Amino acid sequence: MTLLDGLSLLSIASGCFFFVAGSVGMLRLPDAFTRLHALTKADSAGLGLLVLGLGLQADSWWTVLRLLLIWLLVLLSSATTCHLIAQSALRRGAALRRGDNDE
Amino acid sequence: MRGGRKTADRTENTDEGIRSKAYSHREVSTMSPVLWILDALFCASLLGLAWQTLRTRDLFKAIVLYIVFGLMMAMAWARLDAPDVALVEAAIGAGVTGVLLLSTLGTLSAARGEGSQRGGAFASAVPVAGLVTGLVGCLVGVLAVAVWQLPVESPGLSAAVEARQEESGTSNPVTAVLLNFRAYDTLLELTVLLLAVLGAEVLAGSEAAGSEAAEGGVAAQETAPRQETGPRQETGPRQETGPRQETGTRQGPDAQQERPPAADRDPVLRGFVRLVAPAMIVVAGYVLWIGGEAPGGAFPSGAVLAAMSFLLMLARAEEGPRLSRRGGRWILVAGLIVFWGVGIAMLAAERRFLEYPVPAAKGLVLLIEAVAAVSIAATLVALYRGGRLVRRPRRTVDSEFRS
Amino acid sequence: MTTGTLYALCGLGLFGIGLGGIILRTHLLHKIIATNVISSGVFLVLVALADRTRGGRPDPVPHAMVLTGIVVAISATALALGLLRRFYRETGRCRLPEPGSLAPGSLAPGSLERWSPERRSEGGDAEKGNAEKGNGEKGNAEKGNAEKGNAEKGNAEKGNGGEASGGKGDGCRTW
Repeated sequence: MTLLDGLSLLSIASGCFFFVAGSVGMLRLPDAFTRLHALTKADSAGLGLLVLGLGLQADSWWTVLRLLLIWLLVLLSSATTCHLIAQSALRRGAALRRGDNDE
Repeated sequence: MRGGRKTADRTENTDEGIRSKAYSHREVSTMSPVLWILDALFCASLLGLAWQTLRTRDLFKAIVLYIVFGLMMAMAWARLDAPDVALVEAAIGAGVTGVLLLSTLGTLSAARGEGSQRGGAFASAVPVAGLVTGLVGCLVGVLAVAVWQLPVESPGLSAAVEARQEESGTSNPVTAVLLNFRAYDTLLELTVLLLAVLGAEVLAGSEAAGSEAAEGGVAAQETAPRQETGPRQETGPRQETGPRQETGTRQGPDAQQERPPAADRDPVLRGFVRLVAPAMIVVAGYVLWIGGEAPGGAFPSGAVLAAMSFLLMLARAEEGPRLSRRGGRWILVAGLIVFWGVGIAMLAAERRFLEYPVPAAKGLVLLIEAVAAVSIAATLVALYRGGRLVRRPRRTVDSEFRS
Repeated sequence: MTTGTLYALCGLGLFGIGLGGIILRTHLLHKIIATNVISSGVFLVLVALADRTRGGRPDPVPHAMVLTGIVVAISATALALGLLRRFYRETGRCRLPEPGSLAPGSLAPGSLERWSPERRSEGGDAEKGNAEKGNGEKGNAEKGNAEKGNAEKGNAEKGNGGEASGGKGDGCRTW
């Protein structure tokens, strides 16, 4: 295993860790806003690390570029979706109350 | 580690030169216990999701679970070395189906939570349910035995496809089958799509007169922009909230159920769409082009275009297509016309129907795919809009408030 | 067991779940989803069985057919949803009548009371439950009203061309 392999292994593993943390957050946190917070942030970071790890393994810059593009698009869309869901939750006014119910 | 490698491989297989390498990991995939566990997990979650989807009494939940199910299916396709299918499944199976289901749920007012009272959500009493479960179980058991007894190796038609791959005009075997070897299938598939649109239009029928607004304001949002002349992008979010709130109160909370009401004038969403929509067009073109050599082709490309249209509708973008109704119909049938045209041209050239000459095959396949992609996108959008790509212009609640 | 066999069995399982769902669920939207689950199961079997080439490329022909199938499935789904919308618009219902319960005229709008005997006894409770459930999402006040005069409301709805707004009292919820 070369150094590059080690780095990418590390990066992918920590990326997966972020994903797991985000998912745990979504399941465990009390209301819609905190869940969104956990999910979108952790997943964006996790995906970034995955992309980094995969990029280190890529053969060509072209592939790296496409990986980065995918990351960028997912960042954009997850941020937007997060905003929309949060706004919808806010408008419906259900979010914070749910927290009380859940705990 | 292996997982990472594999994904990297897969990404590369869209690279032009590395087609055969795309499948080089297959030996690994059948042996490795880690991957076997991964597959088992996939299968378990697919079954679990399907079960939950059909078990839950909350239809909204069922639809969301179904969308997740579709995404898991896409992963399963990827595991089964069917990246073409994975692309289409993610875009159409999960995405567009979800959109259609959700918009219908919005139309069935308050259908959400319908089954929350006891009884009723399921057809009948426990004994009948037990009987059905038993019978279905038997059927599945028999089929499972049949599948189990199939020979472990069976190359199917892969050798035949590989032998004639050179002549097909594309180096992606799936595209070769779809648009050359079995082009009839695709031709008829486009016909089926068109028939579905016609059916949807007929079924929507008189609905159009009274309840365009009932389709969740989608109607309003797409006709309204056509009457707008001035660019409204410049107006900041503050000015835009005015009309929206009025519309909101006017239509009542439920009329907008189909789509989050805040979405229509949301500056963030609009900004996002403005950034992403052009990128999606490029992606659609790329997917179409790469389909000749790697996973991709007309169907994923069309689905990307359709998704872009959904986004535009969601954001109520003015950049939506300004089409006449007639023009819209032409777009819907363009794919079929070109397909038939090519087929008949082959007949005229004393070949068989849809039998392309080898040197021209690449160009013809690409031509058909390009037009078909646009038609497919239009069809998906039309299916969402109750069979019409373009609605007849009418003053809507929305435009009244804007002007 | 190879990967292909595993997924083929999973596809069969999906087929079974979908088949059970299409029979046992009563809401038509649920039946449509069940149909989609069935087709996913069938596709999975096809593609999984195409994978029996031992390290070679999988057979592209089933892949192409499944690709075609997915697109046909979505057009069938869209058509079914169109039928459902129309059915709902005509009858105010989202479920097919059970055999024997279809009295003459029972397909007229607002005939729910006649149609479902248990609704009269349980309807009140259920309505309340639903009102709580949907709390904060839609007009609450309307919900309370929906409890009374369901039938009239259904009719009024029809007058509006099946407009989605305020459709509280229809069969899709009170079942």
